[in-house]
Amino acid sequence: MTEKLKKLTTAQGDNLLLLLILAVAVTLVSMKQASFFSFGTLQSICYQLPEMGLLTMAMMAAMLSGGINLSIIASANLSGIVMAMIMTTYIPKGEDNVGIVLGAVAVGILLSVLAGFINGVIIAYFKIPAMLVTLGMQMLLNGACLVITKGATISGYPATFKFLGNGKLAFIPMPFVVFAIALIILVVLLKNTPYGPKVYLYGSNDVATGFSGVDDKALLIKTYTISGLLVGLAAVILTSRFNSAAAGYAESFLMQSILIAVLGGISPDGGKGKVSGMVLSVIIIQVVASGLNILRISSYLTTAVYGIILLAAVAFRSKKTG
Amino acid sequence: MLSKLKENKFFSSHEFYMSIALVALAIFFGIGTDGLFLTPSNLLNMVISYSYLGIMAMGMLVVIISGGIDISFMVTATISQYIMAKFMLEFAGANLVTSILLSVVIGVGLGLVNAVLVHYLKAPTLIITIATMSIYFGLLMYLTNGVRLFSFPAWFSAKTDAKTTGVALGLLAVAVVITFAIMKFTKMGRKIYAIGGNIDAAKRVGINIFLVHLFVYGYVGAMAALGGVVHLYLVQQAAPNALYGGEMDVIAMAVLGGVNLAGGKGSVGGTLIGMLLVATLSNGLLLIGVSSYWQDFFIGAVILISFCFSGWRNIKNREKESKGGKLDD
Amino acid sequence: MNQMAEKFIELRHVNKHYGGVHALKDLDFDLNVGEVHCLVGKNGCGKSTMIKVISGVIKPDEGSEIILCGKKMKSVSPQISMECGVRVIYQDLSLFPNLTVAENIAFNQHTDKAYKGVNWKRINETAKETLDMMHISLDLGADVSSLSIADRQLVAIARALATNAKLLIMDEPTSSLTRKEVDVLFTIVRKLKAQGITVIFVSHKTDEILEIADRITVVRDGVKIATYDNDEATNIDGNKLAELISGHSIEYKQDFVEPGEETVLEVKNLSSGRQYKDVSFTLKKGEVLGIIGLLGAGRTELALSLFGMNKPDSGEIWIKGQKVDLHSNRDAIKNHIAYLPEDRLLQGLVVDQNVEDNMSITVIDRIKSALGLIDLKKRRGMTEGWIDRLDIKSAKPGVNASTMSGGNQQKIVVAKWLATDPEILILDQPTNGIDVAAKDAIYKVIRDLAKSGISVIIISDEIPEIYYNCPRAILMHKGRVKGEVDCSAMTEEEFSEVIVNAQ
Repeated sequence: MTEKLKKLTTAQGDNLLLLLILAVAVTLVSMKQASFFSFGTLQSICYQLPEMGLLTMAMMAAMLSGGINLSIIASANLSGIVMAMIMTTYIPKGEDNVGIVLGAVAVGILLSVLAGFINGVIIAYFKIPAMLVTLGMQMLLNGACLVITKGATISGYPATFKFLGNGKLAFIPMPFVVFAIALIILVVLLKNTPYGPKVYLYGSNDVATGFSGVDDKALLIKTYTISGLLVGLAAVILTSRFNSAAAGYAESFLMQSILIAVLGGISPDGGKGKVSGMVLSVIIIQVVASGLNILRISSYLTTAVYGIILLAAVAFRSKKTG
Repeated sequence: MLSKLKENKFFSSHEFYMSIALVALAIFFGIGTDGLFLTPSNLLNMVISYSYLGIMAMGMLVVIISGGIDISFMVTATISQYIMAKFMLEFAGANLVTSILLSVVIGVGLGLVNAVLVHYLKAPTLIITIATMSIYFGLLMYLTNGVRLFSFPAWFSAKTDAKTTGVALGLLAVAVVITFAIMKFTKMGRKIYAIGGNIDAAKRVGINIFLVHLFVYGYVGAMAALGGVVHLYLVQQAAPNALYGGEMDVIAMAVLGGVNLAGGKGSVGGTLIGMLLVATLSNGLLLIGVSSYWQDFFIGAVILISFCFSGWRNIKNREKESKGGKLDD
Repeated sequence: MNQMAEKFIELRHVNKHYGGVHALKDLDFDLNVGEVHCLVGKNGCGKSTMIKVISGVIKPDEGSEIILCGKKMKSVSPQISMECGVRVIYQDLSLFPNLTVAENIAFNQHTDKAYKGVNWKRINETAKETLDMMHISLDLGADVSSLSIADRQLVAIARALATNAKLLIMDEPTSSLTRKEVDVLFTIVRKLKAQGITVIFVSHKTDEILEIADRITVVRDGVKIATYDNDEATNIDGNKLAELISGHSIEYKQDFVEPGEETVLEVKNLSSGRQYKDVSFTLKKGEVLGIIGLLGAGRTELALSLFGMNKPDSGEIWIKGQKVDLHSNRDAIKNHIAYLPEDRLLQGLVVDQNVEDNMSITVIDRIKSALGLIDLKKRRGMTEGWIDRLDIKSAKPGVNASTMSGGNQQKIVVAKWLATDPEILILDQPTNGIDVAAKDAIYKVIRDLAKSGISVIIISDEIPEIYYNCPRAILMHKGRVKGEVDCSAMTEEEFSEVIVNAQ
C-alpha cells in the first residue's frame, strides 16, 4: 500500500500536479471569458496545439538522451519552404494535384529527417555537445532558407495541402490526427521497445550504458533522426496553417518548446520525462496562450511571460530533485 | 625536429590550427578577389564592421570558460543600446562618457540578474539564459513598440572615418586588453578558470562561487553593452530587433577560437582569431560576389566542419594520451 | 606509548547525528604531533565524518569537545582549521586539471587575501620550492590533466605543503598507485614526519597501514574500537586488523573449484601501445583465474581489450578454438564475454534509473516479441528471478538503484551480466568499496558461477582476494606478465612475497 502511495508522489503525482495547474488555468481564463470552456474553443485548440506538440516532442526526444535540438525551427522552416516551392512551381495557382502535394510533403519530411540524421552523426561520431551542433545546424538551415527564398515569402497552396492543416477527418481536425498518431508511436517507442530503456539510461549515464553493450552511436543517430521526423511533421502542419513559408518564421516557438518540455517534467540533463507530462504541459501552455490572447496581451509580452514560466518551471523542478 | 615541434604546446594547440586556417582563407579570398580583399582599406573596414561582435565575443569567452553560457547577451546589448540612445536624445547634458557609462551599467545590471538565477536555480545555464532572453526581449519590444531611434546629437552623429576607426578599434582594443588582463593577471580571472575546470574543487578551496558568477555574468553584460555602443555608433540607429538573431556569430567566434564548451579552457587570442575568421568569411564571400543570402549558410557549414575537425582531434588526442607510443623494454 | 607527547588535536565525547543516523558515538581520539596515524574502518564506519569534524567541514553535536592549537572548542570552524594548518587531501584530489602544476600547487595565492594580485613569477617560485622540499621534480608548466594519477597525488600534497600545513589528512591516497609510487609517497610521508608535520592516513589496505603507521585507530559503526601502537610490543597484524574492522573474525580459507578440461580463452601475444605488451595466457572452462597487479600494470586495459572496448595493436584472442576480432563490446557479448567495470557508480550501473531497467539493458534486444516490442512479462520475470537468485535484499523492479547499498548495487551489476549468458566473466575489482560481509557474499556467487561452468577472471590488487579465490594467478607489472602462480601450492605470505618481488 505504501509502495503505491510512494509511486503517486513521483511520476503520477507529477501528472496530477500538472492537471491541477491546468484546471486552475482553465478556470482563470473562463472567468474572463465564459465562452472559453466550450466546444468551439476546444476545436480551435485542437488545430493550434498539434504543431507545438510535435515540435515539443522533437525537443523532448533530444532532451531525453541528455542533449537538445536547437535546430528544430530552422529545420521546420526549410522543409516548409521546400514544400512550398515544389507546390507553387509545379501546381498552377488555383489548381490542385494530390500526387505532387504528397510528393512535396514527402520531400519536406525527408529533408527534416536528413537534417536530424546529420545532427546525430556529428554528435555521435565527433563527440561534440548537442547544443553546439544543433546551433551550427540552425545557422546552416536558416542560411539555406534565405538562399532559396531570397527573403521572400511563398504562399498560396493547393487545397489538398491546406486540408492537412485545416481540414477534418471525421470531425477531428487533421493536425490533431497527425499529432495523436505521432504521440502513440512515441509512447510505444519509449515504453515498449528497446529504444526506450536505452535512451533513458543513456540520458542518465552515458558511460555505464556504453559499457552495457548499447551502441551509443546508433542510439544518438536514431534519436536525432526521430527528432527530425517529428520536426518534418510539424513543418507540414505549420506551413499548411500559416498558408505561407518564409525564413525566420516561428522563432519564438523554439523557446516555447523548451518551456513546455521542462514544465512537462523532461529534464534537460537527460534520462527523465514522460510523454503524458509533456502532453499536459502542451495543453497548459495552449490555455495560457489563449488566455493571454483573450486579455489582449501583446505577443511580445506573452514571450516575456513564457520566459518567466520557464524560470518558474526550472525552479520547481530543481527543488524536487535537489 | 618535427617531432619536437609536435610536442610543443603552442604548435599542437587549437589556436595554431585556426591561425593557419585564417591565413589560408585570407589568401584564398585575396586571390579570388584579385587582391581586393587584402587591401588595407578593405581589411580595416572589415575589422571595424565586426568590431562590435568581437567585443561581445570577449564576454562570451569569459562565460564559457566559467563553464556556462549566456544566450541573452544580444538582447542585453539591444536594451542598453536603446536606453543609451534615449538618454542621448532626451538629455541635453549627455556626453560620450556618461552615455557609455549608462549603457554599461545597464548591461551589467541585466547580467547580474542572470548571475543570481544561474547561481540559485540548479539548471543548465543555456535554459536559464534562454528564459531571460525571452523576458528581456518581450519586455523590450512591448515597451518600445518597435520604434526606432535616430538623429542623435552632433557630437555622436558627426562621424568621420578617423572617428569611426577610433571608436570601433579603440573600444575593441579596450575590450581585448581588459579581458586579457583580467583572465591572466587577476585572481578573479584565475578563479573563473578554476571553476570551469573543477567546480567542486573550487568550492573546497574556498572560492566564493556566487561572487564569481556575479562577475562573469556581469562582465558578459558589460561587454554586450559596450558592443552595443559601437554598433550604435556605426549604424547611427537603435532598433529593438536589429541585433536579435546575431548570437550565433558571436558564439561561433568563441568556439572557432578554441574555447571548450565544458569550461576551463580558452584564450583571448584564440577568440580574436575566431572573430577574424568569421569576419573574413563573411567579407570574403561578399567580395567574390556570393550573395549575402549565402552568408549564414556558409558560416554555418564552416562552423559544423570546424566542430568535426576539433572533435576528431580531441578524440585522437585522448587516444594518444592513453595508448600512444610503445612500452619500453 | 608516549603519554607525554604533544597532542595536535584531541576529540572528547564527540557525537554527530546526520538526519536519523548516529554517525559518531561518544568518540574519543587523540593525535600526537609529528606522528603518522592511520585511521581504518570499512565504508560508513564514521572515519569520513571524523575527518570532516577535524577539518571543520561539519560541526559535531552539543557536548562534543575538541582541543586544537591548545584551545578548547565545541567545534572547529573552517577558519581555525586553516589557521592551525589542517589540510585535507580528498580521494579525488580536488585539483584543477585545466591549470598547470605550478598554479595548482600555489593556488592559495589566488584565494588568500595576503597575496596581492596574480604574480606568475611568485607562483612558479613557490611551486619549485615546494617540490624541491619534497625532493621530486615535475614539469611546472604541464597541465595537471596530462599527469598520471601518482603525479597528481604529489601535486595535491605539494599544494597542501605550500600553505604551511601542520596536519596533512590523506583520504585513501594509495588506491590508485603502483607499488613503486606508493614507495615514493611513503618516503615523502616520512620526510614530512621528520619535519614535524603530522599525518593522518585513511586507508583500508592493511599491509600498507602496517608499513607506514606509528599508531592505528580502528573505527567501527561510529565508535572508536581501539588505538594501537604499531610496534613489536603490540604485534598487530593484517588479520587482526581485518577482524577489528569488520567485527567478525575472518576465517579465510582457500575454496577452489576444480576447472574443466576445455580451454575457453587463449590470449596470444596481445599488445596495446603503452598499456600492455606481449600478454599470453589461457583460461579453462569453469576456472577462476586471478590477474593481480597494481594500477598501471595494464590489467584494466587488458580486460577492456578482451571485452572489445580497447582494440589491441597486435596479438590474437581465441575463444573456444576460434580466433575472434572484437570491434565493440557487442562483439564480445556475442562471444559470451561479460565485463564488470571497476567503477560501479560511473561505469557499472545507471544509478538514477530503476532496478529493472538496469538489469535488462544488456539483453533488451533479445527479449523482443515478433513486432519488435519488449516482452514486458518476460522482462519482469527475469528481473524478479535475478533478485531472488542473487538474494538482493530491498530490491524491487521499480525501485531506484540509488537507494541500494553498495553490495546490492554490485549484485545488480552481476545480474545484468549473468543475463547475457556469459561463458567468460571478467570482474574488475569486484569488491571495491564493499564491506567484508558483502564481500563474502560476492565470493560465494563467484564460486557458484564457476561450479556451473562459467570461467571467471578476477582482476584485483588485493592479495587476499586473489589468494583465497583463485587457484591460479597471473602477475602483471607495468604492462607485462611477470609470471603465473599456483596459489594452492603456497601460503598467503609466500604469495604476498612473490607479488612484491615482481614489482
